[in-house]
Amino acid sequence: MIHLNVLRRARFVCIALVAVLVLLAVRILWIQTAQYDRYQAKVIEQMTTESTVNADRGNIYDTNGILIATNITTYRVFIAPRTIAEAQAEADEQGEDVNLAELIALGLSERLYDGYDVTYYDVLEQTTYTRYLDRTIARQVDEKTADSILAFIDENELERMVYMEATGTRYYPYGTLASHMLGFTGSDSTGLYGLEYSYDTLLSGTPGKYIVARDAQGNEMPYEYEEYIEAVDGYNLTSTIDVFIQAALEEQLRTAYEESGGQNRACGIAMDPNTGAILAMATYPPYDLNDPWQLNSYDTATLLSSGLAGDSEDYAKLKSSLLLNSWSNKALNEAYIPGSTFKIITSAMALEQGVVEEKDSFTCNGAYYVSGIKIRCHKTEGHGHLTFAGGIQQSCNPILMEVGLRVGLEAFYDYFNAFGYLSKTGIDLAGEGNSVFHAQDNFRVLDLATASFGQNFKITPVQHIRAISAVANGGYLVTPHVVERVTDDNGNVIEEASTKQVRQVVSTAVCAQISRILEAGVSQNGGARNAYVAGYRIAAKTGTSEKIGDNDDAYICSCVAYAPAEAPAICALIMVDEPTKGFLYGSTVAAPYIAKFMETVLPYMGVEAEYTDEELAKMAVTVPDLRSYTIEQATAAAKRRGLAVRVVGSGKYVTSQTPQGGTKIEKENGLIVIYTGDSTAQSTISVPNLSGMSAMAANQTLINSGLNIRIDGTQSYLSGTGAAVVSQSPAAGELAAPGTVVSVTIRYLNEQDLE
Amino acid sequence: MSEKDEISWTERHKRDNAPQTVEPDTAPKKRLLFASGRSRKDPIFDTPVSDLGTIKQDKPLSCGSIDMTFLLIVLGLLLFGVIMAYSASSIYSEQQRDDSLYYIKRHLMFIMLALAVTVPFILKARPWFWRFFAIASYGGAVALLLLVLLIGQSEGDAQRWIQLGPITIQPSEIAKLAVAMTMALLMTKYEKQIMSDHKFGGNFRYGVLLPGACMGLIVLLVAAERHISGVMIICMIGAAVMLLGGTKMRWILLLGGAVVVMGTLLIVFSSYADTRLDIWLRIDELDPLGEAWQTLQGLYAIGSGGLFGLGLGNSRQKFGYVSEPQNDFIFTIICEELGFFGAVAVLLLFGLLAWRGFQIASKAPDKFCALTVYGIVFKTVLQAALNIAVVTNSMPNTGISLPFFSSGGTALAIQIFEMGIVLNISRFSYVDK
Repeated sequence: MIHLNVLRRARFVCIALVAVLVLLAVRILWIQTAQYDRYQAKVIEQMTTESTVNADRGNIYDTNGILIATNITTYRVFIAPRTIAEAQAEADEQGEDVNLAELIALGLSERLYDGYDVTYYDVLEQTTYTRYLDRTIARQVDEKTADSILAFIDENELERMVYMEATGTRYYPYGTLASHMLGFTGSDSTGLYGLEYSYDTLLSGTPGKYIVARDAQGNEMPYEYEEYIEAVDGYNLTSTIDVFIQAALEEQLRTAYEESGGQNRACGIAMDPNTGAILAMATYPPYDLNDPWQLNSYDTATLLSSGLAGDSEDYAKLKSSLLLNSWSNKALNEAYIPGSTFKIITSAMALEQGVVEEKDSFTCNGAYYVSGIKIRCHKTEGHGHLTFAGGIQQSCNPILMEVGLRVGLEAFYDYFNAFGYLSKTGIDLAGEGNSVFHAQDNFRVLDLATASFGQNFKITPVQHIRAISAVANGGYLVTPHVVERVTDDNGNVIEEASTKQVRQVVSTAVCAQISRILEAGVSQNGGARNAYVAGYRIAAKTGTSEKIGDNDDAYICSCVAYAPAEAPAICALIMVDEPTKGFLYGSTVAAPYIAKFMETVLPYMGVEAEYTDEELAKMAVTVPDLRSYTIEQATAAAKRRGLAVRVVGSGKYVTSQTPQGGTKIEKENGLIVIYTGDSTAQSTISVPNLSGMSAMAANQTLINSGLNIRIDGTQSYLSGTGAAVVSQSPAAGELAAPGTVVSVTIRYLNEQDLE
Repeated sequence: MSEKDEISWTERHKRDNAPQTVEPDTAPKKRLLFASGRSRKDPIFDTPVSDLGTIKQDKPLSCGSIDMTFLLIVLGLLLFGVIMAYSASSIYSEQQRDDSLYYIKRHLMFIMLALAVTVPFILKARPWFWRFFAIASYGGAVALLLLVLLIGQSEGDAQRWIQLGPITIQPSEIAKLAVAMTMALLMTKYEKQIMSDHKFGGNFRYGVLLPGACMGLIVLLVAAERHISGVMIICMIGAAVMLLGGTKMRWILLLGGAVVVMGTLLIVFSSYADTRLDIWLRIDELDPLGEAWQTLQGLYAIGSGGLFGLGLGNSRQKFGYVSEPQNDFIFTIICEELGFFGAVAVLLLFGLLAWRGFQIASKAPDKFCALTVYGIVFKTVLQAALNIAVVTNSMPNTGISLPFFSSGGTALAIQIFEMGIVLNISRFSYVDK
């Protein structure tokens, strides 16, 4: 029997204990119900690792199936500091004299310092995060470096401490080619610009998932949380771009830009006028798609000349704005004033409306009065009497103004709209710019007059080439596109581009008429003579526009062309923004390059050259290889090609010759110097200065010196006047052997088509 | 019982002066453990050792069978413990020892060992034997605590274990039992003085100073190990025994106040305790991989179990997330696998243990036995409550294992032995003639 007092106190203690247990039960109930969702989520979160199974991004091919964007494997190098610490502890315990962290830091930094900027101390610092199993050391490590690291891992038995993870990285085999059109991807493989951006969804595919439950040590757990969702690879794109045509266009843009000292980039588009397929689209300067964050040389120069400190905020700001600007697709984003190239459109409207005939006679007095305001022609003394066709070819502003006024405000506006200038073209690339034009309510006669010759409004190059293509193809407005086909990995076609004709704007007859007028302007005495290509009938129009607003003294020089004129296979546009060197006209800054472009791509496209007799006579010949011929045989062979022979030495057989066999020279007055016996070529002739001479004069001068000529640039020097040598190679004053070919570049320099 | 019947044991002793003659157990005396010591004098009670002390009963002391209810509760806890210890330890075991059965084998081994030692005591020990045991355990605890300071195994700041071959001995576990029993002895021996109205030389000296000193020595030694939870539990056990032993209420309250002040000071001046306290208060802001990971991962396990649990064996958190899931945090795995109902089952078993244990104590043959049973049951349930409070983040984290559940070790063996003491005492009572 126990004292009652004790029992009472015992009851109290017992109740207290039970009360505590009940309180704890309540607490547990609260944790397991109110907090359930939260803790459940935390457990799942920390336990499951969701690794993404990358979907391979689709390849991009050019129209002929040449790979222009693909993926290559790179590696992410990472370490497991926790395992390193554990292994170190074990090594210490066994008395091994090894410092794993230092070993790893040394090994990795040796291999990753070059190219990835990983230093010894970077790695060492990462090894201190001993709670973690995955600390990244470097990304996008190439295969070769990865192999070297793998060897390092094997050698030092670091398998559970240093890891590499393969990832796909976008690779562009052609580097800078079509950079603005293709665009590039970010580090997360999302398209950022161009096709990569516009077709991102189709290209990227659907990444798969690998959800796996891991215990705290990172080992996989045998539970039902494991899940594998297979990745669906991205679709492949076949672009309408042709690598050859693209390269040719870029080459001409580059020379045009560099030779004219362009300041605000240049761009060009080549399009199949019948289908709307973009064959080439380029902006110069390009950027390296494999290293898009690297400034091009022009922008680097700008950045360096800014005088900003390399670590200043303004420097970084300028750099990023330069980068952003350099990535934008000028042919697509930027509206510009088309200038005289727009006269094609005005003419088409006028002829379609029947307000003018090709043969109608006009008189240009050098200026035209609209609403009492005097608007000058680029030829201030006036063109005098001209037919309407002549007015187009000579790019006469007053004639176009008068014709434009005859079309009338409303019709002009409607045509302008019908040619697609007031809407986006619907090209399958993101970021298309808008045109800037007068609102219809405010469209006055003066606006109409200036618009007639392409001034005072802005359109994008892609809008313009679409409208020009409509004239080229017989009046049909088509939608430009850069992707021909979307296919899956098995070649099944997912989507296929078809020619989308929006509407017929003008009649086929009117278009044929305009093509004829433009072609005559190129092959005969028009303002676009520099666009002439022997053997091809090219319709072209040049344009020079004064920039309004940001830089009033600057010009935009451009040229549009299509060929063959009667059944065009290609329509091209080249535009140089703010040229600074030489004659700042579309006819000198743009037309010669569009000619070279056409000369390169037309034969490639299977368009046969059809030479006129005159052209054939004028053509260059290929020098035959006369070595080992007798003097008689050599002379006969040269004669057959219309070339003269000069014999040096007294031997019987030809031992060497100048120019070499296979060299091209102009047929007229061509000369081959052949050496017989022991005689050899001696550089004895000082090359004369040809600068400013006409082609004929230059030819004569060289013949007199015993040299040959090869004319680069316009080919119609014999039928034209006023074309002059602008450059030569070898340079004046250099010594050359008799018969050496001197290349000269000839340009029309008096073509003042400034509106 | 009514208030009128309230008579102190001392008074009863005077009234029933006649020496106890009845030995209700008819079994031959030599079969009783230590029965031969009958003629010797009890060093504390100053009476023959066979005499149960200050109480003189008019009823014969009978030795019946053990309390089956209590036995069932203990067996229930042990069985439940074995199952959960296996479930919780298997993964950790596999990872650490390459043998998923390592910890459960160890657990079972300790249970076997403890039963082998305990059963003879349950069957043979006479109530007075535990008085000697009390003194011996006290002496042993002090010796071991001194030893642990000299040769103990340390972990972090704390130095708590003695490695003895494959067995680690945690002397503080023995000290808890020693304190409970020794104080029970003192509270019984000096009952008269404790009850007296004299403060000095009376209820303060014997109700507070003497048991305080007895407890204080152990507390100092345990504190020297920097074993905060040990100090705390020992103090609480001591306080409970004093309370139940009859120390005047005012001293209890005064001491309670003093403990609160001391505890506060301890927290303020010990960076270790301070950190723990800080973690407790800011638990949800902390990094689950950082300093609070033990507690947070435990909470994740409890919370993610939900009402019905993930099913036995299906814990996710035992895969290395909950720290040593077979040990202090085993309760979180129970909650995760068996849900709220599993948790309540554990709480219910401990609640029943308290209820039945206290019933046994109230029927114990003498005050010492009663206080011993009270102390042991209180200690067991208190540890369980503290463990659960810790893992549910109801109090700051401090290393307290869950009796019968936390995997193997001397603590488990001692807990089983303690249950043996209770069961043994449950056999003895004064029966009506």
